[in-house]
Amino acid sequence: MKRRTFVWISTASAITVFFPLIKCTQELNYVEILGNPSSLSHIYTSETIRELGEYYRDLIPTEAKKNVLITLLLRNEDEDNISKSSDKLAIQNSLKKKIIQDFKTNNIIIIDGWILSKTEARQCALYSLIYN
Amino acid sequence: MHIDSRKLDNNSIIDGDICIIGAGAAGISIALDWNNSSHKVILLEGGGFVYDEKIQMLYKGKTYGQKYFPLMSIRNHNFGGTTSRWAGHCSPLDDIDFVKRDWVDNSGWPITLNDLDPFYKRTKGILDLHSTNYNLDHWQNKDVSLINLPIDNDFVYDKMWQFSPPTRFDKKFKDIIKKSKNINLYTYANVTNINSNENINNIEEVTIKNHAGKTHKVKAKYFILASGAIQNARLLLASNKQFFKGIGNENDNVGRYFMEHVEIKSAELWLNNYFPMYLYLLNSGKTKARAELAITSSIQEKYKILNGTAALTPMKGAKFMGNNIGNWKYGDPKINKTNKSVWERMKRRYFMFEESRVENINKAYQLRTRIEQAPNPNSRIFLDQEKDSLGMQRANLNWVLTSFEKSSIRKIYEIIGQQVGIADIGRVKLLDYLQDKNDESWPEFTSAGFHHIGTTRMSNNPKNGVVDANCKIHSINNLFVAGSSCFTTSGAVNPTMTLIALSLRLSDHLKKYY
Repeated sequence: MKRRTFVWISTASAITVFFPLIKCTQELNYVEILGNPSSLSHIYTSETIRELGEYYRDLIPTEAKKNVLITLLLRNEDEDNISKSSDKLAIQNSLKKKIIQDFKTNNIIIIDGWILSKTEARQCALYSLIYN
Repeated sequence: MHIDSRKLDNNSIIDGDICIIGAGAAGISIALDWNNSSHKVILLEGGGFVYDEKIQMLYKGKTYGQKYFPLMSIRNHNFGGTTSRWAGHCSPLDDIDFVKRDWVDNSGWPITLNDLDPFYKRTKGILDLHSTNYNLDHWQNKDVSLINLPIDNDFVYDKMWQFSPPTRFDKKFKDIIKKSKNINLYTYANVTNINSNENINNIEEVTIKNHAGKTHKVKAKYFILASGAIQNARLLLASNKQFFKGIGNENDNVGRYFMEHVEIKSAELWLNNYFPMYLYLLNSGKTKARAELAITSSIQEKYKILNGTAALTPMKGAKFMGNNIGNWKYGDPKINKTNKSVWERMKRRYFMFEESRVENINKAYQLRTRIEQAPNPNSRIFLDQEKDSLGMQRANLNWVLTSFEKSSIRKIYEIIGQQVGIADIGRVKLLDYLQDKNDESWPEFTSAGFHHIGTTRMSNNPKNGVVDANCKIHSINNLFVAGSSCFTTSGAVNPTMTLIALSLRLSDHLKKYY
């Protein structure tokens, strides 16, 4: 194989293999951020978060799928939707704002007695699907 | 002066200007207000200076409806009354407690908080309180460690409490009264009947009896019933020789609207981070003031709920919280008073305050509700056919709670949970019994505050109450009632300070007659 051909094929292969991998990693990354109810992690163990997520999925079966939960978590009623491509901190801040807004607008759900914002309850549900 | 009525000649006649029936918090407060005056005050106490089982048995009665403490043990029948074992928690009623609320049937006093304010101030000396001020700022200025949770005060605010040592009236006032020249204390003087004139609009005398087999009469210009909400109602109902319904009971209101405070663990507060919670903690004997979380009037109105507060106790200490009706095994209050071991008491005290300094439990608190009971005519004191050893019909209680109290408790914690969420300081968890909105049942551990309220409620309209705004029985010219039986609604605070304030107001009113 000519050197030029080898370089071309190698580059093409790298692009073919790694770009989707990077994309996939990025996607996994933001899903993980969405599915991490950081404010609750001060209080709950991961086991409790998973249980609360399972309660939520039982309570609202229409939201029991990963892609539905992701869509709902990314959606913002009053502000711009949360961007998948934002960095971790930006996504976390947007979620935090969304959670407080939930409490302010009484967008609250009671799961196993816990008075939670709808957003963080969905985060628990997503967490339970990711780490099932 | 003190006279043991057992030692008087049988059928003695006792004369005075004012006759106070009952030497508990209300009766003693009024008597002292007349000390050193030119008026002869007759203070009647059914018991003596110490516990006497035979006397205590006079309070025995049956309970129906919501599970309740044995009536025999819920009040002390001796000089000083139940102040000999009260906890000393003091806080004034709120403005909203006096108001007619369209979402609370039979609410609305004929007086306002302003009418009671000057008398609340006078309770400071009686109850050995540190201040007359119940504002959070006042206490924070005195102690910088009293930091409040950063919650929106338009929704949830910090209602301040003070703690009496607690003042034991039997110890503090016994000698003062015994030495008084114009207060004549008669012990073992159980009033068994109130005798009116023929028109049943004036009281002429009361009959007193004791276990020595002696009967005496007490005559006075004015009579004040101050025997507690159960016994006040009992005495009026049992005085039925001249009018079959009982004195002051033309409209069938005597004994009705019995109210208690539902006291029950309801939720948990889990904080994200450690927070100095000294403002909310109680260290008996040391804490001068503390706060409970309360719901503002406007939010009560918005959600149409009853007035209630949440007291915080570190989770580890909460398991030592007592007062459960279910744990009240004995009818005899003397046994109940001593059956807790010293070790149990020490553990409770340690975990409730000292241990709360330890970081790992400093994030979790039990929220315990004290909520007013909606005035309910079916919640009532009524007479039994059985008579006590002095020949008086016993009093029974039918304590009736409704779904309103329970739904209000749930809403209170939804509001607190919401505000805690907005402040992003933690989360609130409802206990199991509150999780189903449609469940109207009460759990086994439902308890009460030992507070007896209503039964001779205050109202401008005789059809809706027993006493008027001056605590005078509507249909009787010279019979007054002192104590928490006059409360139209119970509010969410312990009643002792308010009942003393109201009694002092009655005392001032009576002075206008002289």
